[in-house]
Amino acid sequence: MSDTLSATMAAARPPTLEFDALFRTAGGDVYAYVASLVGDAATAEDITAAAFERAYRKRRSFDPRRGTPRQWLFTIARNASLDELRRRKRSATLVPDAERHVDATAAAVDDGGGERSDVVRAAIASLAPRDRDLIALKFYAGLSNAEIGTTLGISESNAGTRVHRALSALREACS
Amino acid sequence: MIRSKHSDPSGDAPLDPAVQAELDALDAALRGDAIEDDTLAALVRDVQAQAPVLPTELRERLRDDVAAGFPRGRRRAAATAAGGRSAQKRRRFTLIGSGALATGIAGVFALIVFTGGGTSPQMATESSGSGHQDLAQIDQLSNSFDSAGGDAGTTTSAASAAPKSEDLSGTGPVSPDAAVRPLPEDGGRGAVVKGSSSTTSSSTSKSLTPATSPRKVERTVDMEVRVKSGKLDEASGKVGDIVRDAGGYVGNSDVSIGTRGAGSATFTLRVASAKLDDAIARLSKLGTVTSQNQRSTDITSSFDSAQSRLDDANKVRRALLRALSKATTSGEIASLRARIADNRATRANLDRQLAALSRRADLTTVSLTLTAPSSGAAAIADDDGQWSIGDAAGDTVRILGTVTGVLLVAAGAALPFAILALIGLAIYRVRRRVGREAALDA
Repeated sequence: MSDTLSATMAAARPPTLEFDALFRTAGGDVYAYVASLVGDAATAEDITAAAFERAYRKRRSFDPRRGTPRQWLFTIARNASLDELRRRKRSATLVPDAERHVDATAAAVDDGGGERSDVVRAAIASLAPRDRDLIALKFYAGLSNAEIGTTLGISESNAGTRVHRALSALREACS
Repeated sequence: MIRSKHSDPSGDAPLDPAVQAELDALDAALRGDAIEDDTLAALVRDVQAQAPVLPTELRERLRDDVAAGFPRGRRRAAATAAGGRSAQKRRRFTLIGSGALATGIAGVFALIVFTGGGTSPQMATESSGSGHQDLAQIDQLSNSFDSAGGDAGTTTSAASAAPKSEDLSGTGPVSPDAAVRPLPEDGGRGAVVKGSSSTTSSSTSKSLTPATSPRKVERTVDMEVRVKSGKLDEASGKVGDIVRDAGGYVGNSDVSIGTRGAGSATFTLRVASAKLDDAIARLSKLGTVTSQNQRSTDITSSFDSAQSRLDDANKVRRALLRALSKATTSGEIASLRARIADNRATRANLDRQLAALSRRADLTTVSLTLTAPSSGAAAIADDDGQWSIGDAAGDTVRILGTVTGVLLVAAGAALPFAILALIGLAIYRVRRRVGREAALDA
């Protein structure tokens, strides 16, 4: 087989999703985002595992023209989380099991920063669920405004407007 | 600082520059870049510090699952808890729907295949010899003859009661009441038979079976011929020509031509028996013979019986004429003339019987039915029972056409359901999306 033909066939072949690399770079962020939505650690663990399994099963349906792998993975995780919330008929509280979640990082905030940490935690908890969702997508998932817009099914500018509104609310709650 | 493109593809207004600047600063802080807004930088650090941490046990388990390719069954419970149940239901419904559709199509195809068969021609030939029918006909002819010759019976009874009888062939006086019997071939000596009717019957039965007479066979044929669609009128016209060439005639005909070339015609033909085979062969070429039934009945004994009785009647007539020539009294003459008249009627009746039997043997009745299928069914019915490349190609085209038709009908029937299913799927997706978003508002 000639090199030209091999190159042509390789170009025609859909790009392979590097799932192992995706898990290594996004595993912790997916858990942080899911836990922020569903509220408790046990459910977050199940949903995170299910989201990764679902993404793995559907990895061949990933279309790079419709978004990045990271955005695609967080869309799956968000849908799984919202399905669970619907099933439970309860709203998400961002960090109800905060002690368990934050234990590993609380000491690293700063010396005497425990009060500041509590303020921020309370401020996040006081946000509306949609704002908390946006904060989690921005701060934990690390998605751009365009990726958030794709995930939510809205335009990029609309997503930016909503993120800015949520950020303003968080700033006000922290002040 | 990296600025992202903030044009709105959906037509939304561009972001305010101040808002855009703050969002850009946020993105930079999230990436770890230094920004002028210290408050925002601190907020980013504080919020990121609140991020829940993936438990080590789950991280290792997921790493193993990713490496192993998520073997099925290990995370089924988790998948179910996270909404995998609905996916399983969808897969199950998809499988059930596909199976039902495939079963339906297969059932329709099997129905078409099985109901479309059975078009092979059926040939049947029956032949009956001189059996019970012949005996019945012989009895009927004998009774007819006895009835026609009632005078002879009466005469026989009268002769039995007569005080004396005289030989008709002799020179003595002839009694008008004497039993007159056929004269033997030896010149008539002792031709006058005096006796009971049983003697008469014995004499008659001897004359019924001449040993060297040619066989008389009555034949009837029933034929059904399928002609091509639209060719019924032409084939019906050829039937008359064939019958005329066979020395016969068309006794009865009924031609009915419907729409799309379909129709049927029934004929009652009388064909010379000597040319029957040729006529059958030519009629068979009008189309495809779907059934043929031929019956033969030996009427030789009936014919010979009638012929023998006619011979007897002729002999009786000659004897009566001789007796008349020798009669002397007016009473004898009148009586003999009356008997001669009766004998004339008997002979005329026997002549008619013989003529009828001859016609039955000389002309064969052919009941012919021509059928022409409609143009749609013509292709299916056009089968001569022999395989050929053309038949195979025709069968292939027909099956493909049938399958295509079935698929088109099925597609047409399924189209409304497919549209409804698509609408339902769209509604389901919209409701699911709205429901998911509403979960954040609950």
